[in-house]
Amino acid sequence: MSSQRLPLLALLAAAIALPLVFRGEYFMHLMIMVLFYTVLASSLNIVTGYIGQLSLGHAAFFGIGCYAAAMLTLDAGWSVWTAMIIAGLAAAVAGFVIGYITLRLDGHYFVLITLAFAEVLRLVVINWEEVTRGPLGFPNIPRPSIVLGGEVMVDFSSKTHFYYVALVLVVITLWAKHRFVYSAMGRASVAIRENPRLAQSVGIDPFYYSMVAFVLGAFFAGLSGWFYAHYISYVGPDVYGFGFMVTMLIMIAVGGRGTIVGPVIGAAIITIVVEELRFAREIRLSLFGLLLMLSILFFPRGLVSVPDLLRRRGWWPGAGKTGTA
Amino acid sequence: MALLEIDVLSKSFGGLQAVRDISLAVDDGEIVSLIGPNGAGKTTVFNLVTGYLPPSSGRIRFAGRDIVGLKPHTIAGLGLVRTFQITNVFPALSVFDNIVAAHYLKARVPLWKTWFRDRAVAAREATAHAAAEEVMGFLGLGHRRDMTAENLAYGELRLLELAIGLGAGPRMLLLDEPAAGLNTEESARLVTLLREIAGTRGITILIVEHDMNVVMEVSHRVVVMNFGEKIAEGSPEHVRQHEQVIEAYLGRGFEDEAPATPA
Repeated sequence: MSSQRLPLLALLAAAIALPLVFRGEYFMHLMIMVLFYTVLASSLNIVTGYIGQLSLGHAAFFGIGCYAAAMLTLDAGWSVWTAMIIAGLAAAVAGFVIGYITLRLDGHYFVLITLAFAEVLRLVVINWEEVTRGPLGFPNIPRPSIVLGGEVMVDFSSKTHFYYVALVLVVITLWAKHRFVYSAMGRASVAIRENPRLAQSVGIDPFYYSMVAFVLGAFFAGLSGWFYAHYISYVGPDVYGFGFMVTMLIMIAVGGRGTIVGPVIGAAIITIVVEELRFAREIRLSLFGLLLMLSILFFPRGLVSVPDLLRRRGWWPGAGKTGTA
Repeated sequence: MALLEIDVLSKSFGGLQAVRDISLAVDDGEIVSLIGPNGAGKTTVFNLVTGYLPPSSGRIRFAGRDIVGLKPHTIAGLGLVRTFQITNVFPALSVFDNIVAAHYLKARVPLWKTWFRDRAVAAREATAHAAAEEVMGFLGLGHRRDMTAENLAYGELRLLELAIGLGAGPRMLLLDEPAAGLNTEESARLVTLLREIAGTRGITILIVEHDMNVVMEVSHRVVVMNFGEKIAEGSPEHVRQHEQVIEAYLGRGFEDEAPATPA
């Protein structure tokens, strides 16, 4: 049943050991970004990959998480860890409200309204200077710290500390998603994605499950926002921008939507490729676009489907089965 | 008492009256066919009964309960399950996953138990999987278990639709043209299956069908519609002889099996 479990556990073991082997600051930063994007892309994949709704407003929930973290720790003076919970919950509540309104709409309208929602939030954040500090945003967001018995145990001065926090977030996200996917709820969601009318005819309420997935996705987007805010230590209105949205979508498309491993692969590949293309300077983004087109052209179901494709040609061990998660 | 009671049901789309004052009752355990020319309003009746369209007027009762205004998934939850005229499956899923997904009502658990599972969850999962296996075996789809639905042959696809309908655990099935596109052998098999579904499984069936051989063989009762109205109702033999039905739908030559040969 859970055919994706073994590779995930192997990956986890490797991820835990990684900082012990490679210690470069830059390398650690790259890995942290991979983990961060894994949470973010996975959160969108719950909505887009499983319910099949293209939410272009997902960056808004990420942004809400970022701003909640910044405002709670800087303006309200809350602890970074309390802010984590609130950042996730704030995004989930926003997801509930937005989902309640938009998930009744048909495909195209849903896409447009969610897109508008993120844009409206971005404009509010730019203009409501008393609260959000406008275009300047929030610099110097504090680092987390782990205090035990009045003593600072971990001060997050090293990237490795952030790395392990990000890894914990990834594990929580993927665990929650794994449970979701391999349950009656996950099957109901996939049924809605595949054929909403038919899903209704066997007793599945599309609105209810779309709401659950939407709120769940928003929660994890908020968590990733919290992490981003404290790691980068600066949050500005661009977190609501289309840049993050496009990045997440590309990661899902390249990795394989509607799978658990897909967004992990997508996050790793896209983060690293974008970095490695720095040598190309001006044509960097064009090169990136070209790679993206090739990937979608040759692997329409994402890189996660590559073993399946090879198997069908007998280049990979195992029976040539077809199927999705 | 009738399981499904439709009382002077009407539906208009703008100026077009698609269904006009249809009354119809289906008893527990019956197989009733709804026939008539294209555009007679048969599928609209299905859409009205299963909540996919709101009626303009009229009453629909299922197992004694008024179901007008209920959502399709709620009506399915009451045990009134429909299939669709145009092939409708979950295309990217395997045959088995299609049928398991259709057993949603058996597998459903409270939201929080998705993440915090107990024995009850495992038990429900096991029940749903066993029921799916059983339905798959009953319809003879076992050898296609892991095949992706979109790769199935047409006849098997229609069987899978039936499997999905059965998966919802219905008391009553509304089948929209289940024999459409089937060859003679496949429709003969369908007749056997429908009789078993009604007889052994005790599921009441209302069926829209154009294949008169299937209709005449399985139906206890036949209801004929034309231009949104019911024009006849009765046993297959009765309907076969009915003047208006012959005029509107069956055509000359069907009432006597050996048409006169031209000189």
